[in-house]
Amino acid sequence: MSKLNALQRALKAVKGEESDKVPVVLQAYALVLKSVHGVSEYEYYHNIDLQLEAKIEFLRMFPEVFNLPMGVLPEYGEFIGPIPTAFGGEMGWHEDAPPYVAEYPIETPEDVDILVEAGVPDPIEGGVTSEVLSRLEYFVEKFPRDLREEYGYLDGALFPGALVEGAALTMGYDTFLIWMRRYPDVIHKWLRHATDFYLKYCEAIEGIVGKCKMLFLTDHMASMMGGDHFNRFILPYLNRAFDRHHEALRIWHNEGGCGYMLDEVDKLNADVWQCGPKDDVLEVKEKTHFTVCGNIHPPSILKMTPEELEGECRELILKAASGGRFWLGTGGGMAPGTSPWHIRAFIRAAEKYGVYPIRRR
Amino acid sequence: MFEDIIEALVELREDDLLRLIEQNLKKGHSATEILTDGVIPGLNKVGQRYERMEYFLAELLFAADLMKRCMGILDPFLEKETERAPVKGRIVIGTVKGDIHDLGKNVFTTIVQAAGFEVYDLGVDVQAEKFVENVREVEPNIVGMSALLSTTAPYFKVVVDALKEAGLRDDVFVMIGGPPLVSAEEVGADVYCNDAFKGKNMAEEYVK
Repeated sequence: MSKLNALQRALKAVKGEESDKVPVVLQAYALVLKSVHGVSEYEYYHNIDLQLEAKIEFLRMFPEVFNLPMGVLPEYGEFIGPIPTAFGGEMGWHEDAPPYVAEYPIETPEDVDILVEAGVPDPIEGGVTSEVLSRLEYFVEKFPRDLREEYGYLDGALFPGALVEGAALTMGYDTFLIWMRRYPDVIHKWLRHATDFYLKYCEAIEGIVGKCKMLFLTDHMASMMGGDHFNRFILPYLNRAFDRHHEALRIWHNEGGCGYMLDEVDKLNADVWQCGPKDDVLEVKEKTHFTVCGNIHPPSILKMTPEELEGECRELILKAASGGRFWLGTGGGMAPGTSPWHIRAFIRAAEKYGVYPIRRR
Repeated sequence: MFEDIIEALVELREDDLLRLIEQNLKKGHSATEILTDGVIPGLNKVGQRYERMEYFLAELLFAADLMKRCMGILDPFLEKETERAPVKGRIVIGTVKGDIHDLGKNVFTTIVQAAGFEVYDLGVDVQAEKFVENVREVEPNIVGMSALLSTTAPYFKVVVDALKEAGLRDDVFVMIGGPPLVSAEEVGADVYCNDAFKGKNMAEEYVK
């Protein structure tokens, strides 16, 4: 078999095929990359050239790793900010912590009516999305051609951020969760509208990177509720986004833990689930259709020696890698302080223990 | 016991619950009785369902919100009742500097308030100096801190060190909460807990 690159290996695994070895798929983004350059998080988010340089450097340093879209695309509150800021919310910035939604535009159920009546905003016109789209154009112009052509980075890669979670952050998590029970019709009305905006934003991104080939959808709301609420308030809306991009590789990022309702989350029309440390990867593989990406606990890595981390990866590989449908990585994004040798430990583990067919040595 | 109130709270039937509280007050039951023998046992049962994974964060938050609504009705009566239950202890609590995630802190606050603690909630993004200032002023039994981010969890230690420097550390039980990013030992706290009901039990155990 000719040598595969990181993307080809990952795609084969999604088809349930065993390639040459287990794919290493990580999510290295601001929390990790800013430390490489010794700058604060605030500086990192506000300096597009530094971001671009850090991302390219990471991809060049670790060609054996496929870095998920959240790590490769521009970062500017792009995970939680799109929906809240499109409807009048404000982002807050810390010197050394990720940005957050500082002001919620929805305080009363009547605010939902007002926002819905005002129509679906144009993502180019304002909020976080306008800045992200402009940065994306810059990235497309400057990104090295070989990384785009060989690894598929950027081209057709969509990371529109959180959907139901974004809708929840227009009013605060607690209000959203309480209103699901107290005002379910209001929440559905809001989710329909927020999803309309989300899909419009997806179209705007496609206008820059081309037709969607990979959709990376981050949404942790499922882990805050049981199966009944999941079926009513999460599933229909996430599946609208997944179904719209049915020809693409669809990745759902949620490391919050959903092991208690695998039958329910199995209904999500994503191909890959980047799950969390609390989820049992083998059980997820056996009970759902997903390719599993994960799930070493990111902060624990920082306390491990390279040998210990390799050992953890080995256990995971032996447990879940046979038959494909497994990407070796962290349970969610990597933690601040994750160093190059941590990443090399993942690569070494895949080379030492993850060569197919997997054998216990 | 107010079985109907307990049941309405456990089953999260808001209208029934509030109506039953009003009815029982009209019947002449004291607010203290209703709170102690109805609302608090109901909330504890919600906690048990949460522990058994029959309930999730959505239900826990709704129950905490119902609790607040019950207190809205009961508070004016409680203030007048001479037999009001004594305060179990005082807690100064806050989400540490750089962090604004207060969901867990708010649930914990509601639960310990219902259990009879007086809580001084300093809010989010709280500096060590503010913790020290409030500990000096309020003289609490317990200091609670929460953080969600791995970047902000190390600030627990900054607060503990500030309490030590002010000579207050030995006077308080320090509880930390959030995802398991650091251990209590690492930051000089007394306990770590990521479950509001277990946290309430720890607080009660400490002030016994």
